[in-house]
Amino acid sequence: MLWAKPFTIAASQNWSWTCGSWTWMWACRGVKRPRSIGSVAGRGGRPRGRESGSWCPGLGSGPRIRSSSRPIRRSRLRRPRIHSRRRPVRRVRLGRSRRDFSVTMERRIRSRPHDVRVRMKAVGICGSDVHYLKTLRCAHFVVEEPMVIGHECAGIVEEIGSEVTHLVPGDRVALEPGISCWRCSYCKQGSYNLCPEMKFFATPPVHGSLANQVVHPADLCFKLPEDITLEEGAMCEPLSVGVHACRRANVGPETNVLIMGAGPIGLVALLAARAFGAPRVVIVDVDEFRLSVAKDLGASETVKVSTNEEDVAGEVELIKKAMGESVDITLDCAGFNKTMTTALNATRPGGKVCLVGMGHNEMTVPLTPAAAREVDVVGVFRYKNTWPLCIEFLRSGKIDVKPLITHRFGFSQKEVEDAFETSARGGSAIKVMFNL
Amino acid sequence: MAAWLLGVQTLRIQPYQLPPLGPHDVKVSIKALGICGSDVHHFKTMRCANFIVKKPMVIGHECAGIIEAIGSEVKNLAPGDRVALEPGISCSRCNLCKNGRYNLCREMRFFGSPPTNGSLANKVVHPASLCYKLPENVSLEEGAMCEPLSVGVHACRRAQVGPETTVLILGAGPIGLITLLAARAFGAPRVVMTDVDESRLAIAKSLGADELIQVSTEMKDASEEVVNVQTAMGSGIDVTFDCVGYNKTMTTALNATRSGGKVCLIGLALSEMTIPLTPAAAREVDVIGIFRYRNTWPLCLDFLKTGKIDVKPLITHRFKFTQEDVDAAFETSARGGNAIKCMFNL
Repeated sequence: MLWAKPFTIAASQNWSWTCGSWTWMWACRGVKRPRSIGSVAGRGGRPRGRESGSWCPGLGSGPRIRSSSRPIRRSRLRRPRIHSRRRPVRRVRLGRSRRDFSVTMERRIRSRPHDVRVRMKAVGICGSDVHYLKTLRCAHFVVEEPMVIGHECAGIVEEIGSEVTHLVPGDRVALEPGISCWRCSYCKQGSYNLCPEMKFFATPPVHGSLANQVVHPADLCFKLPEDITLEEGAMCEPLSVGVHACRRANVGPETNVLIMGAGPIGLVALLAARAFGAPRVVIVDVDEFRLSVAKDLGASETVKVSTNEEDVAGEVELIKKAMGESVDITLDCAGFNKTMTTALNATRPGGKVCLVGMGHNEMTVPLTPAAAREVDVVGVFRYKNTWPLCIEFLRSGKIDVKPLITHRFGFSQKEVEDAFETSARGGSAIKVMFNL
Repeated sequence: MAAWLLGVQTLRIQPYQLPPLGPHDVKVSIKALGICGSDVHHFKTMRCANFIVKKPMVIGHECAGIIEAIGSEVKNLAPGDRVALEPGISCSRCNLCKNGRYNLCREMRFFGSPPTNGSLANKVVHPASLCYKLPENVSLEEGAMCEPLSVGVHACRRAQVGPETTVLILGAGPIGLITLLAARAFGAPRVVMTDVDESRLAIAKSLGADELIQVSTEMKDASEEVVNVQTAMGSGIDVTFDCVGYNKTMTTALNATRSGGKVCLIGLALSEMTIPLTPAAAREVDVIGIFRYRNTWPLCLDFLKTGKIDVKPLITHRFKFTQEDVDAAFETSARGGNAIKCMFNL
């Protein structure tokens, strides 16, 4: 376990981290400089075009690096900025080796004109966070440098940038993690979740938000209504995955929905499908406890299934019987060969299968017979434009996420470790939440 | 008389007792009929996917002819009219039919799909609502080509091909080629095609493909070929049509298509496929399935009438309706290669 000041850490890494912090602050003061592709000042984006090995957060290929000995000219401080008492910022970072992370002290980040500084109050652990902790990678994202973890978060605004008009200090907000570029054709057409330059909390090399404070664009901070807690605000993130899947699959008042998997994502998908008006939702899982949670959350029927591929045909029959009518849409929230095979076979001709879970890279599935019944396979990646709808669902009571928060932890080294262990264990642990 | 499928690789021209002419039916004297890959499959194996030939069945479904007699309630057609026939009679009562997706009707009776008799016959009886009058300048052979063309048109509709969608087509066989024609007619600005066979790529070029890539059947070449097709396209690939349906082609399709794009699986080769589905799904690349077509004849005839589509180059071999020619035609069609569409003239 490492308890060390940032400059001490920097000394053991490379020199550019040291001056990087200075430059980061310099950049955060809103001084105009050429933006390189992929750099987002103040967010720790990996620079492009720089010599490899130097990782200067917030630095693109444009500006020169300041050495720590050169003071910043007063004239550069003319841009509007927010003064605040400097206090060290505590964060949780993944260390160099697996399962070694530490709570370290870092300098506060200054807000930019369109950003806000948020004091984190609630952060949930996602399966991807656990994956990073266990393996230092998730799909093709690889943790190569120490990185702050966590992305499902909500907090209280402490400072606002000069251009921010819709938020004030003291506002409780839920944060949408990903900053897209807003210039590419994906962003301009509204599919910003597919932006190739996306900077997403805790997707390497971008720092996450399991920290006392973060700086974030104000337009990605959504004010919470009075009766919505900060924990519920943090739950907007996983809930968004379910909402986006329901949108992409066109769930509505006429679509019977089958959900494969009653884990955290299957359960938010269930809540979302109900909120979208699905008349009947059948959910399947291997775990009886999770099925009972699903039943409490409003599943019409639950079916216990096995992990045995030979059982597919029998399970498809059980599912159809449980549904009573045809299965219009299936959300596969597990993502394995067996669940996808079941999904493709159980869905009616002309229906849709939405692949939400990311179990295998390569899958062996009966795609052709399904395609020949015009069963479409729809993919989802994270979400887009979901926070307002999630907050509305929570406010109106159409969705209640509170039962999903099963374990709570504080923000200390021991509790962080316990929390991740609990989350990784699965079972009765659905959503593990930090209260900071 | 009709061509009856009696057993594996056994077709015989024998008498054909027509069903009675209903009030909404017409009797059509078939003049042109094309051979489809599914006909060849039925011919070779007495089955095609879940359709099994259990008793003698008339083969063939891509047809056009001249009306000989009309039922009492038929108003829009008259004897002497040249018509193209849409093969499938759906129930019109189930939810799928009533919602317009009649191609998925479970009670579908389709020419040449067992146990429904096909139309390689001198005469057939068919609902008038499924017979479409040919414009003056469209021949009976072109009328018969409406059937395969409909597959391409339906695929382009489902994949939402339009003036802004770049299209990749895997496979330059008959279906790949009509998909090319349909994609162009729908306004696709750029179409890249791949195939293992150079001569088929040459035909694709003459039909208007922008770029052609010769590919292999080796899975290990997939990643290189993805780079090649993306380079040939120049910009992101919006829609990919897999007109083959093998693991390799589907893998190429899923990897080459841009995020948020669509892969349309038309080729029905394998039952089970091993493909990188998750990385594609995680880029929101959707997989769209196709089953035959629906509401496509009017559009096909319009494309043919205006010249937006010219199917005549696809008809490479012609045969008469004799026992010898029937055998030769199926043999030629099964051979593939330079035989794109084998057409009977009755």
